[in-house]
Amino acid sequence: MAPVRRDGHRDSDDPAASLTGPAVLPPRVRRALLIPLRRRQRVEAETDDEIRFHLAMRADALVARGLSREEAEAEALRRFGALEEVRPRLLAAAKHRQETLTMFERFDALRDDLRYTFRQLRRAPGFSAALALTFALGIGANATMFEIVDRLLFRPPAFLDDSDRVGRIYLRRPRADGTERIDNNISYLRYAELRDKTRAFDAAAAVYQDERVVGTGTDARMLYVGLVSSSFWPMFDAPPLIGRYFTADEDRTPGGTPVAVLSHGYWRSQFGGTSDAIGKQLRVGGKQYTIIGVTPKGFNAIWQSNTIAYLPITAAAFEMFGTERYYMEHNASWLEMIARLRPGVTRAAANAELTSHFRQSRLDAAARQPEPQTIKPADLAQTRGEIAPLLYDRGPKATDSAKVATWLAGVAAIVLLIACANVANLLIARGIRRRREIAVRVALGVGRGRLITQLLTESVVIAILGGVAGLALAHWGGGALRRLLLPDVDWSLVPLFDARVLLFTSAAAIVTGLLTGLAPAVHALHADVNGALKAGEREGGGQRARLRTALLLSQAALSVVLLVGAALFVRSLRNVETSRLGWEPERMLHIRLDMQGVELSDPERLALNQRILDRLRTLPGVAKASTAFSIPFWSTWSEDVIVPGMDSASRLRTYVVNPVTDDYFAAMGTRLLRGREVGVADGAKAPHVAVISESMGKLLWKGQDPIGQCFHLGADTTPCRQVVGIAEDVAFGDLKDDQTLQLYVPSGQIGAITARFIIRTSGDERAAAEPIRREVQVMLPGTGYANIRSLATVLDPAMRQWRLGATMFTVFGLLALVLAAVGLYAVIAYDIAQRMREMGVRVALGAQSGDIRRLVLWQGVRVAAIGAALGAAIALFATRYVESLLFETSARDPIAFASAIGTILVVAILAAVLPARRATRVDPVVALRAE
Amino acid sequence: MEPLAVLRGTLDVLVLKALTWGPMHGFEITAWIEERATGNLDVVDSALYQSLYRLEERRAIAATWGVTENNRKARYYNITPAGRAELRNETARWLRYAETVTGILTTPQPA
Repeated sequence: MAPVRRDGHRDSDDPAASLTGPAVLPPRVRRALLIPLRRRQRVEAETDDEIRFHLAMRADALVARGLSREEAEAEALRRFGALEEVRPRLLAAAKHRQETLTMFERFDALRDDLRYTFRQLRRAPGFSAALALTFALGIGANATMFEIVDRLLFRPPAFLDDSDRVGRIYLRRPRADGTERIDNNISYLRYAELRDKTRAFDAAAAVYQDERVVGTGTDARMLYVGLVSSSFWPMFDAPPLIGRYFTADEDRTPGGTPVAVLSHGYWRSQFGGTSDAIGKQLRVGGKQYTIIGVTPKGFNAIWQSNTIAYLPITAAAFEMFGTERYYMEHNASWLEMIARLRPGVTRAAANAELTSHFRQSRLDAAARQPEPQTIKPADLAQTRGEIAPLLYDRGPKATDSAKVATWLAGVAAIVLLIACANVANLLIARGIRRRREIAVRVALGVGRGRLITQLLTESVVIAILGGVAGLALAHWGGGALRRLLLPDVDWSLVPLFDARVLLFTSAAAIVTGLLTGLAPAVHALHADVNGALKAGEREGGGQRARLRTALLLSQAALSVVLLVGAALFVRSLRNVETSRLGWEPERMLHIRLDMQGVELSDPERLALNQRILDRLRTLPGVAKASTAFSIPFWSTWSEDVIVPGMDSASRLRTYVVNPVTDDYFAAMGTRLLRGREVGVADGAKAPHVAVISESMGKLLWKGQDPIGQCFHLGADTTPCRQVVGIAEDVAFGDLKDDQTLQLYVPSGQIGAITARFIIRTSGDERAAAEPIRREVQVMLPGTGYANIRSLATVLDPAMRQWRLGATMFTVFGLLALVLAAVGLYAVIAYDIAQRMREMGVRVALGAQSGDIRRLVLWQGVRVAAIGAALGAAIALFATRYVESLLFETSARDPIAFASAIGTILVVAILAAVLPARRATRVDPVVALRAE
Repeated sequence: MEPLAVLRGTLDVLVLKALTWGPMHGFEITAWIEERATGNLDVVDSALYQSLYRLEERRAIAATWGVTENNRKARYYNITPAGRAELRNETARWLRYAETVTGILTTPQPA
């Protein structure tokens, strides 16, 4: 029996009112008040209705057979089943049914939308491809930046247990000149003290990554090895692939046990990936280590660069320092300490405890000195210890690289916005063409919500396609950029389908698609249905044109902002590269001797150094050679300086001391401005002399000639050194704002400390390195080892942030420019196509082709000019935030602004040229006739 | 004779068969089955609705609210193509089952 009407008309009969279940308001009341029922209540109400109806029908049928009303109703209830039991089950079944059906509905809708979308895409493949490519550029840029920023700031080391509770220890203390010194490099003794005493930590380890010569003979390579304490391994959830890790017994002072754990990659490539690697020997530096285990794949400790093996820190330390004193005194600060907070302990509590132990450690060390020193209470009060996030760029010594990278992530987002604006514009233009189709659908009764979902599905699908392409772009194209900007990271360990990047890219694609599709979707819906269905309607005016113009303006503005940023960073980079460092970093090598426990007396040491120096100077590839200790950007030795008659010279700055010998200045490329250099002739018995840097002279002896003046080095009981020469300033710690002053003393007059050799080669220093090293190696007694490295590599990290900024801003700026140009071209071309009739009229009324061309060009240039002005205003406001990242470039550099604005105007003209030409070719007769 | 309890799952196929006669509401289906069962089946009404909801969930039938001749609001069910297919299959299986069991049970005893 079919229903008479399907319109939900309600009857007033209600025989089983007792069926209404618990509700805020009884469903009947709600219905009476026309309040829409919530879905769950609705299902309940409907089920109750159904039951009630059934009972009523049954009762009626029974009455028709002769029962009384009460008997009939009772019998109806009986035949239905025990209501208290049965009703809940039916309600549950109904709810389940409803949920399932809703889910089906949604899937069906999605499937239909997808099918429709793909049909649309196939119909206009070129258009769809253009959209997807635009998205790909934007999303790819963001994926690349995400990977970089993620590695610098967010990604915890693989396999680390409880990574948010693990941190790096930094110790702060005031310097003589009042500035604060923050050390993440500490001595072994201090590490041991803090490890033993700090109860806030339930795990602590000492770590140090060093570049060592691994292997022998022609197979020798400079590779990164990790020196770690045995307590390092339990902090990771990374059981060894084969073998085992070293234990506390193998990591005892003074010399540990020479064992080694290989990284997975090195084990596969150098030891065949077989289990008989265990027990073999690995030569690192001057020592042989026995391999005892291999780490699992993907393990890279806490460092970004590829570490090939891990050694017990005590075993390798002894080789480095050659003396047992490394763990008994504080004079060498080299290793880093990482620790894990005990559960329930806050960072603040841990910091407080660290601070008190560090202060005590300093006091103990001062008291142990042969001449006990005191630490001023003010100094002690500023002595602090803290545990900071493990990632270096999130600690107190974060490099500017991380800041630049974060800015660049913002820039990438801007590029994506520009891309979205492009796609939105194009979608709106196409939406105008599809007005009719959409109007038909609205007329057929498709709900607004459904329509919007459909349109959004389109843009999301295009965005996802673009996202996939963008991911590929980021992986291969971005790869070159990543290697340039973060060369330390072993990018070969990064898989294509890294979970975090995939997640980020998917999210970016979906958000992009939704954002981009919203404006065209809403616009399409505001279509006037009747107007659209009528034929002959001319399109493209009014509100839509305003939106398109607004999008274009914002594109132009954003492009200008990026171009300004690019120009500023490029200028910075050029300034950095041409800035005066005070030394020449090309073709420079540096040799450090590891004496491997060989004890030499001071005279023996001096003699050895001289012999090596003499030998080096005779080698064919060596142009100049000298000894030094303090190397810019790498190691410094600082001392107090006391000037007679001047109070607290020490407090003014940090003085970097460099014991040198003949030819130092020639080898380093530091210019000697006045006077003479110091060398062998200034022996221990000769008058004490020194060469000082230009700024030091200006600071300490204002207005006077520094040559001839004298000062005490270290304490005022030492002989007063006479200044015999002035050298140019050298940038020691900071390219931008170096506050150090340098002084050079003859190495013979300062006592024999571990000397280092600097060499300027006549040719490529990388090729000459190993042969020179071997020459020195044969001269070392016993198992001494000569370490050699190129000095250009110490400079790279310092230059990195400028290079990063310049390269990425330029790349993104150009990308933005291309996108904006394409967008401008597309919109102008479309607009002209719509205005063909108007052009025809103009030509018919006597306009020359020149007039038409000017008209079109002016349209493009006007939008670009306004957008550029807007962008310049935004840039003027925003660039002050990056001023600290620039180098000798003002954030309001007029040339940068002018070139950015000029570029966008030129691009706008170029983009308008083709449509202008097309406009001049219009045949007025054809245009006027067409509809 | 005592009416027989309806075996599990059989109710579904009976409902589907009923609906091939056209759209019906729950009571109509009950009445239809009772009529054709001629008192031999004991159908508990609530079990019928369980069956209806299950069938609806797997889209063998679809439901809409409508109005009866007496202007009462009722939930009408109709069979879907998927339901027809299910009916065909289940009928075939049931017949095969019944035939087989009947055949075994009516095998004459050896003399």
